[in-house]
Amino acid sequence: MASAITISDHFTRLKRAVQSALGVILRVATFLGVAVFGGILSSWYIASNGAAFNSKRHGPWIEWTTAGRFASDPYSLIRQDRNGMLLYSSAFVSRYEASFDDSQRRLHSACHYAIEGRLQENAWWSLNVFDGQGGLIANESNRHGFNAATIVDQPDGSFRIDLAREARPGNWIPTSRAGRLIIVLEVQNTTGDAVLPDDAQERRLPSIKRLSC
Amino acid sequence: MRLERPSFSFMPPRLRDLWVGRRRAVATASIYGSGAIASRPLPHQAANRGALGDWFFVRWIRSLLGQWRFGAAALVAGAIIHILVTLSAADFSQTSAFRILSEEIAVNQVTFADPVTSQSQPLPFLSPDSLYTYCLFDASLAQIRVSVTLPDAGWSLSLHTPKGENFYYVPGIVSRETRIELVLDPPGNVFAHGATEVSEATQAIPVVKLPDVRGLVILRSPIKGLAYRRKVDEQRASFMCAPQDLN
Repeated sequence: MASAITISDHFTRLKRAVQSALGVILRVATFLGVAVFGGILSSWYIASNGAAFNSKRHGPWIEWTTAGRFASDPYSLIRQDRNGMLLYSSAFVSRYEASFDDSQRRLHSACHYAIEGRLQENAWWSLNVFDGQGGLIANESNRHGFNAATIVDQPDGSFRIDLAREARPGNWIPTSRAGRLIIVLEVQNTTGDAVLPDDAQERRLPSIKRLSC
Repeated sequence: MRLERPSFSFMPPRLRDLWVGRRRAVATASIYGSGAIASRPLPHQAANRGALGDWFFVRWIRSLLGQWRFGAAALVAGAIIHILVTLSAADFSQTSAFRILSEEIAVNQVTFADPVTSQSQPLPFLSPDSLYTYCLFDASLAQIRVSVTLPDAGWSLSLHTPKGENFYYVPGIVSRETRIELVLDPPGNVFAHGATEVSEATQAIPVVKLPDVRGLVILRSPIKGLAYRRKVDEQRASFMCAPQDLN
């Protein structure tokens, strides 16, 4: 009888010890998970997608408001370095990126898009299309974008650029079979100042409409 | 007859229950040993407990939720790691534009880069409708003198630090030539007070105080069409960037 109680006690103690060790291990794992993964992932997320203090969204376009500046925020620096980008200060050149169309669908080379808008007169701008890694899309016509000098305007002064695999009349940028697309619009004011007041930027940035897929 | 003191707490009921449960667990642990997880469920907790509630992980997460110190410590540690990673990531980057270019171009010399095409693209997202002329400078031994003429809109001269920060920028103006002459001065006492640029009235050429002894000067020349290419090349040839002769 006495030996049965002793065995039961030992078993209970062993069970508690295992439970205790397991609890400690799980707590440490949770702590490290929250601290290490949470810390790294949150940094990566802000560097990739931006936050209110370093980026601004204008419809499908995202503008990194402190990119390229002297003493820029560290998240913009991480993004710039990670992608190997050579950026001009956002104080002089406004740079907008779009990975989605107006309906928030990801841009893809399988679809036909129309980029329509009107940009500030006398301002130098250039619009180029890249693949998902920032590479130029190889095509026979060696055409990757348009700028203020090469665009053919419509009679009312606005412009329309077509992104499609097959040839289109007018301002056509071939997208071949690049997969995901990123459109980059850079606008430089002749005085070197920021381009437009905020309220005007909302209206003037071109729209990106998916026509077919 | 003894009157019961009414219980009052600022905590919401669920949080209060967790807190009470935590205190019971501590009290139980002090009696039966630290390994015991033996907090007795409160009446409404017991009612909510079904098959799911008996799972070990559910019980474990519930016990963790009651330990607010654990959560707070993990969040603080996460915030510290976030800050350390964010501040140090840029310094350890192996793919920065400056690092890539510095392996390909000579120091204190003008480098006329080939047109950017899909076959020869030195950096991602580099605009293909411009020609780029680089000068990777090192002002540790002497000041660097830079001169160029920007003939039209779209042209620009910019100075960048090794981190890629653009601290000086001159754009071209529509239908008007802009002559630029600069002396790049390595960082000294003035920079230590926070200035990045000082123009000395006594000198004809503006002196730019550099934030770093090394950096990059970039002349960007837009390609307005094939017919303009030869003219653009001639205008690019006016770009000069070299250590200043001390004599």
